[in-house]
Amino acid sequence: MAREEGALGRYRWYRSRESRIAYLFLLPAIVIFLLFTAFPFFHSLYLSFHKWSILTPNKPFVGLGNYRALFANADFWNAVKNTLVYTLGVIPGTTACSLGIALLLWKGIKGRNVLRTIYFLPVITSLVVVAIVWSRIFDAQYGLMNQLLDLVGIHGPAWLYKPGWAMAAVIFTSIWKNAGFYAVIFLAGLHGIPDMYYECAKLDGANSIQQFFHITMPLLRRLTALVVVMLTLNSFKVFTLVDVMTGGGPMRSTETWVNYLYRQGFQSLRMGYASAVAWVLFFVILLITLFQMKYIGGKRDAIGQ
Amino acid sequence: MPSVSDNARVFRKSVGLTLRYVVLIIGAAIVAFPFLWMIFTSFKEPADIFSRTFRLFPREWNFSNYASVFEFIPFASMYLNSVIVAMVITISQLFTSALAGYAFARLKFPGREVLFYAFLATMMLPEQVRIIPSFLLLKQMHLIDTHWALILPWMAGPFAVFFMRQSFMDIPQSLFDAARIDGAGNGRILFRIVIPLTRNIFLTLGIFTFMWSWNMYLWPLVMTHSMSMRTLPVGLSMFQNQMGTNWAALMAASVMAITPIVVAFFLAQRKFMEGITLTGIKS
Amino acid sequence: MMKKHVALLLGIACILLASAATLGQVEIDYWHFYGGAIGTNHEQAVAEFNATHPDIQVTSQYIGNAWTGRDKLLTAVAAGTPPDICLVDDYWIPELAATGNILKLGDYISANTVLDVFDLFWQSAKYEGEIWAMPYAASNIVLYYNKDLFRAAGLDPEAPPTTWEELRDYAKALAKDLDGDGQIDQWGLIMPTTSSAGVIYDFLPYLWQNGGELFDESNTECAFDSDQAAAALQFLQDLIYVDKVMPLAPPSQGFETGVAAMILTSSSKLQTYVPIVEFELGVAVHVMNDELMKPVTVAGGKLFTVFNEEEVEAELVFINWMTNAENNTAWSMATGYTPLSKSVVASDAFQAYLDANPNSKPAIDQIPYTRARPNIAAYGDISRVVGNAIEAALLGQQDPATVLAYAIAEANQVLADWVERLQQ
Repeated sequence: MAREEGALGRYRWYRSRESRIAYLFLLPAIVIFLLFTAFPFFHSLYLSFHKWSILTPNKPFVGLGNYRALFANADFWNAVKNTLVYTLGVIPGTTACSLGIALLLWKGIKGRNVLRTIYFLPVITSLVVVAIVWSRIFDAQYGLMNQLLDLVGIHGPAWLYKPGWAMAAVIFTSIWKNAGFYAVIFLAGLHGIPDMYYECAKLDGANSIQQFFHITMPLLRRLTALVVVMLTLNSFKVFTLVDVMTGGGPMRSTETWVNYLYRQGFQSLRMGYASAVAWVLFFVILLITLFQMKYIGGKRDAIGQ
Repeated sequence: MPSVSDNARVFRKSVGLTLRYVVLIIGAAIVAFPFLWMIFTSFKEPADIFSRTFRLFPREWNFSNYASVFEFIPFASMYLNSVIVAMVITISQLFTSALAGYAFARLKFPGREVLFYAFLATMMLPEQVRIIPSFLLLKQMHLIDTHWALILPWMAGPFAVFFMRQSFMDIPQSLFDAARIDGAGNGRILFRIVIPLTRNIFLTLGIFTFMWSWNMYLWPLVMTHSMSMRTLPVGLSMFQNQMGTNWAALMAASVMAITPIVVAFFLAQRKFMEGITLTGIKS
Repeated sequence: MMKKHVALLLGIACILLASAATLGQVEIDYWHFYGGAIGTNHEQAVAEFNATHPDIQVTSQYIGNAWTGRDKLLTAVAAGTPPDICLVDDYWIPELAATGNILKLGDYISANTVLDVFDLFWQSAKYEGEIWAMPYAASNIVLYYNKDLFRAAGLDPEAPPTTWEELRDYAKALAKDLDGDGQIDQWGLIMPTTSSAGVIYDFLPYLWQNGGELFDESNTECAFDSDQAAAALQFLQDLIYVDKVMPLAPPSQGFETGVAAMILTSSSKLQTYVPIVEFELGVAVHVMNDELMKPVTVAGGKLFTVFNEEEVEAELVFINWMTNAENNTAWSMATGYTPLSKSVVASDAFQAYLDANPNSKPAIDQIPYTRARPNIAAYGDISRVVGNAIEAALLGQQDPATVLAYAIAEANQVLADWVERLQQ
């Protein structure tokens, strides 16, 4: 009987078996996602409509109260402002340094691998170690930074005790930590450019500066956009560096969005309010991602073909 | 005449090249100096550290700072915790994402597109949105302050699934057809053909997952509280509070914390670089 | 579902209990907040307890300093995984008692003990009139000074400053630019300037001496926006910006290394300083307000709290052993903490120690003038708000009255939140 149904029947049977195997293969990942991504995602939305200190069972529904309180809170806006300052400092700084390193390393440099390894060292160093070491380097009295500045006759500031300087120190450390990572991405992009382009340009009499602006730059544009996206998303979620270096101080001048969230949630135990802080952050990240997906998608079409 | 302009060009070129070297070496010095400072400080005496004038090398080499780290924190157990957590997360992520990636790349089933995009969308969810409910969930499961609280939620990752799917899609269809004809089932195809073929992908993803989980900070900060459960990064940041004024011990702990990773990096440097290149291109 | 879990857990607990009984050993999970040299000393005491008590095994853990440790303890409590015993800072007790998370230890403490221990230390252990914790370590703020630097500045090393005015004048004489680069590199005194548990603690004596208070008499409203409070904060701010005798960023180990000549800090620092300082160390009572002349300092304390009711017998054995006269005497001598009880202070051994170590006297002499911190549940959260105000004044050079007025709105909100939280 089965034989009479022929190839089609066997195919159908195979297809349903294939689906079963597919679901089986997906099962472990799906269970983890449901438990620790989907459920927490909606649960935190639920929590954000309640007022709750987890020490007591009291959990009154407050509707949009947490959101209203949040948008009216000067400390929240301060955290948003600090996050933006951090992001605006980190993006151009890291992009410029990493692109610079990549371009300088790209061609005709002997010992390139050694240099690349050195530039990459901070990337593989634990962020907490980086933060600990740099907070000592920025120490007002005994830190390396001010001792070196002293050598050239400059009396350095008490870095981590002055609002503006503290943020500058955090941004500098972030750039130092991450430039090597993005430099390797840029290097890969540069190596992806066919030599042919440059040979043609040389034949046309273009000098190296012209070559850079007419060949390298346009081809790097998409990669740069990608780096900027990654930097933006990471900057909005910065926590560790600030937590270890300054704890958000002095005077909350380095307290970022996630540091604020952590303080509200796990120091003041205001779980509902902190959930609202998290949801607003999620919404902003979503907007950035959608905006940049669209932007980069468009770019790929323009350059790729 | 042409020889003059040639000379000028060669000269310009060599000046340019020298400049490039100078900038690169200054940059490398800025990057490397903090490491040297950290290492030398870890051998200094307190009086040597708390001096206002710059001095890179210790006046006297003091090795006892390294021993004092072990006096104050359970450094070995923190190390062990980090290794356990990072290893288990890495291996299970590779396993779950290989299975899921294979299903998405090579199997046809109802709801494939929807599920895949659902997975992709979760990449956008910041860890911070999930942390409070995850804490409550793990509390319900009585897993707070255990290794499981650090491992379980990260046993599958959307990026790993996405990465695997993309890599598996690059494998020519003819290989699968040949295997099917030989009567191989999906499990066999995945483990005998696909995985050996994509060994490099696994290595790359493995390195990245390991590095990421080795450096996890916020999650273990919230999910564990006893010293015996602390991983290296959290333990170090506590050590900084506890021994904040003992710089030498702090630097000694830092040196010990990063050494294995740095050594591993020197040994597997090419793979690291290839890995970043691959992730950069893939995403 | 819940019941099933409970039943299962009970079952496991029974098995564990049974196995513990057969092994004859009770395991106690104990957390504390002692780092550094004191931490080593404390761990040694616990190890000695374990060595002398084969039927009880106390596993002790350092879980962070007084500020980050509090967060960790609270999250652990929230997660339902607190330790069996925790040594806490005095001001955490109301919070833990109010939320019903600790055992009312007063029910287990003998009347003799209650009588013998200084009443001041019970104040910190109380919440709404009842005793919830057993004092272990008690301190207050004293003045430490560098006698060598006093001599070098032409000051009498046996006549340390006693009033705010003198503190300022002495500091002026002691602050110096040693290398002539126009920057001060030897400071008159130092104190923490960033928001931390320490900065509020250090501020309280000035606040109280000036007639200011954190809360009103019924502890229902914050009161630190008074003129007296602002003036006290102004005095500290002026030391940095007007008199230029106190650094904005206190140097690491500034007092120990002789970079600062004076520091007003906990009496428990004494034995941390003694082995490392290379100068002659002086200790004196806290300075007083010049006009009001109110000799007030603030009490600090670490107390045992019990979270696990089931092992209370073994836990009490541990607590009683750690606080008994012999161990308390040893602990006080080893650290600088004040003995808990009148009988220990009066004992021959301790009197002999005091004669040999006059630097330990000021902390005991000023016990009658020492005040505990207000024990209300919101104190921990509010102290952070006040800490931020002090930081804004000291680091940010903002007007003290303005920052305190700003902080009081936030603090009252925190207070109201706590009232709401505790209403079931």
